[in-house]
Amino acid sequence: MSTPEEMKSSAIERVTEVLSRRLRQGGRSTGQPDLYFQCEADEPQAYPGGFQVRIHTWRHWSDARVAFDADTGEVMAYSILRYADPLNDEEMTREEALAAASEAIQVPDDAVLKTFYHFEYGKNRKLARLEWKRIYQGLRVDGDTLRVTLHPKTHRIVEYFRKWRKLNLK
Amino acid sequence: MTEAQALEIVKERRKEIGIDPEMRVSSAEKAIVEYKKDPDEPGPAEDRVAWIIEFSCAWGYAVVHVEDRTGEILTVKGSA
Repeated sequence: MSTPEEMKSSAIERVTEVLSRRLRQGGRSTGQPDLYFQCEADEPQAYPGGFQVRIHTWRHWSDARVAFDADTGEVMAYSILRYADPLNDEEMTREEALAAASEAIQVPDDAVLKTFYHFEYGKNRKLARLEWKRIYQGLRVDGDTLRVTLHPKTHRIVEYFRKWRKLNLK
Repeated sequence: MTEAQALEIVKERRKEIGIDPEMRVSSAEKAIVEYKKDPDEPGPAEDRVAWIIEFSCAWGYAVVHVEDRTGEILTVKGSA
């Protein structure tokens, strides 16, 4: 008979196989499936037919994207998306959002706040969003933007997107 | 270049650049835009001061960039 540790390991292996297959079906190939999900096994429990092991899984919950200039390696844009718990229907003020954002990120000197609003991405999942535009020598820089989404209850940043290119004015 | 001059340039070449007759100007703004002569070729982009003129109608939109200094139409993009 397998030891409890062997049973736990075997159960995790099986679950990993199933979830990896689902990733492949979804068009994602990875040598590091733990980037997309993690598994944790409970202690084996006896039942009339043998033992069962319950597996807890955490699914992929965040996307980070970075765009580089292929010639120079310069970072052109990056984003981190992480719609987080807990459930929430509260709102925060613009001042609270600005204070929370400026504690966590550097807002560029040429950024001008464009908008502040709340939105629900699911039932009881309300978030607050700040968006800045870029003004250079009195003109808006088309395409450049800074977007920060905050959780009104925890004041944590749950989404960050910035495109602030190096200008090459002709 | 004024907004009116930029609009006049687009109006004169409207047919040539494929702006549907049904579309109307919805906004015009002088801004800094990214420009590449051939967007499909690799290489650095430039930035130009241009008028961004947006057209729209019930079924689509078009955006035209007119360079402020020369009046050249830099880019035409649209949904249709």
